Amino acid sequence: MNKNNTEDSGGSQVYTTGSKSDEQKLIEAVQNGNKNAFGKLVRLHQKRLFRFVYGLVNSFDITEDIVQETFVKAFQKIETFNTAYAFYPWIVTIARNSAYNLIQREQKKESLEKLQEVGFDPKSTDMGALDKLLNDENSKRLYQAISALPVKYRTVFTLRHFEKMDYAEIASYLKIPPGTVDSRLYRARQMLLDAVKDLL
Amino acid sequence: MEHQFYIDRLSAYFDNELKNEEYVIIHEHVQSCDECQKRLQELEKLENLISAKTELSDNDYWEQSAQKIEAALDTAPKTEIVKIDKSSSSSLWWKLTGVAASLVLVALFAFEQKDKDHELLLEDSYNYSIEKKVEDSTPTSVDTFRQDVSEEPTADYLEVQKGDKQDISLASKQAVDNLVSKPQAAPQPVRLKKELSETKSLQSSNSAASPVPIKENLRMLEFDNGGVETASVPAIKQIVPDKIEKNLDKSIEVLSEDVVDELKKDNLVGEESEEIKAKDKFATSTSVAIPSYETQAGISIDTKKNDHEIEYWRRKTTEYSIQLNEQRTKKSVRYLKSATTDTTDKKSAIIHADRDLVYRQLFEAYYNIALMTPDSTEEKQAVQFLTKHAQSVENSYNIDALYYLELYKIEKNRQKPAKE
Repeated sequence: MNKNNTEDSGGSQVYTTGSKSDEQKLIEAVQNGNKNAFGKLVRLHQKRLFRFVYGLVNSFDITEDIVQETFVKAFQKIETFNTAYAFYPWIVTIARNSAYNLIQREQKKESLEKLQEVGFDPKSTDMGALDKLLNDENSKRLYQAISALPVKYRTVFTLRHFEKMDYAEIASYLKIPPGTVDSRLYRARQMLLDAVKDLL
Repeated sequence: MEHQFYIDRLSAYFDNELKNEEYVIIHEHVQSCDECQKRLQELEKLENLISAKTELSDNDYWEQSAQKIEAALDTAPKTEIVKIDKSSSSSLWWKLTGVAASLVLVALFAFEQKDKDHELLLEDSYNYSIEKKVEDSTPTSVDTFRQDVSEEPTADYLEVQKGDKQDISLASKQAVDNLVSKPQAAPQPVRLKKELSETKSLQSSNSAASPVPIKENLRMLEFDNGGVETASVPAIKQIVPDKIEKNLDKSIEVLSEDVVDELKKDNLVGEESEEIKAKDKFATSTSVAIPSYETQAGISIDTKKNDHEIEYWRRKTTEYSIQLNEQRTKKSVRYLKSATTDTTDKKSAIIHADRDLVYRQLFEAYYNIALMTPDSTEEKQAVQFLTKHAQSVENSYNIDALYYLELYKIEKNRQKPAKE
């Protein structure tokens, strides 16, 4: 039975230990004007953030732009960041908002809420440059299958598997009922099982 | 129960996301069902595959990407944070200032309109005579009022915009106060005075009225300033400014909460971590509002919480019913569009799946209402709804209705001995 990994949880995690973590020290260094420390934060989180954004937007180029924009915004607003919280959920929130803003601008979607619910689909399963970042053929097959998922299933799948969110968190994040999360995830898994059955 | 019922829930069972009752039902079934066990194994293998094969490789790309970001940071200056008030963030007060400014604009616009209306009346000889009488009896002209409003609050607002950091909250509040207090100074037609005095008692009784939403306030404000037919509604006209004055602070509080929520979403508010934490918990309304297993079983139900939960489920029933209606409309539109294509069956399947999902949620809502409102007509109606749909064999959602109906009966039986 799968258990949620609280460390990876997308919520606003608060450090409970008395001593400062390396990440906290890095952030405080950035807040004190050390730009190099921010570079370390980028290297620490960029891969995970990239995978999350790619899961939302399904486009290598758009993902690249959003990840860069996210880190720049985070740097600009680092003064406001409370080091009692984990850094990753914060940049995920910025990335998510950047993604939706960008998509909303380009797609002229009716509203952000609608977009959150239905997601974004650039109508292409061509992974482009992402191929180069994958280790082997099986990874490519799996990513292709994920990319081919209908957008609303892919978004729920990404939040569950890449961000380790529980159903209530996903529901709150996408503003959909928890029951919908359940059924979308079920369908996403069925589709993936069909697509990569021979890899299991 | 049909086997599909269990299969549909395996995914949530695998994630340990089922409610207690459901978990027990599915768990018992899985122990004795080979097919379900096989499916569970597949889910586990898929999970392992995803963990192993979705990691992105370590190559030069990431270093180059990080360097690009670092280069971009050179051109991106850090924002200078100006702390205006320790208890609130700067952007919050900028937004409030914006609200004050927009209120000023609304008032200005309304008076512009009134002025125009007045000019139109002057052109009409018949109306002219009536308007003239009113104007004669009111020595302070509308123009004076307009001047007051346009000058004072705007000046305050400009000071704030220039960056007067001393007390923006006070400045914006003054702007709002000016705006609010001016309509009271506006002249009333003499012939209305008697009617106004008659409505004073009504006014005082209204002074303790419950807070009015900001939209309502704005609407009233607009009406008060721009309403042409003042003679026909004197009572409301006099009450409105007082109401606004009393409720505007409340409205600002409501707005503040909204803005704080927005900031909280962005996780940009740094200093109010405890408050945000509390709000965060509240914000995940889905997990808070859905009744726990204990409350459903009637154990230690807090009355207020119960009321809140019932209200939540009632709202949900309305929401899902609307969704179903919308889906019906969409369905007919989609059917017409897809009638000429080969994928009609596929689309139809998707539409049905969506519909069934909403029905399932609707059943869940009615199930909860039925349990929370014992011995009431609401309970009867909810049970009738579930029964009706459980019997609707031709529709695929009848399994879910049946499930919640059975669950309701089990819970009801469980509650009976406890009561006795």
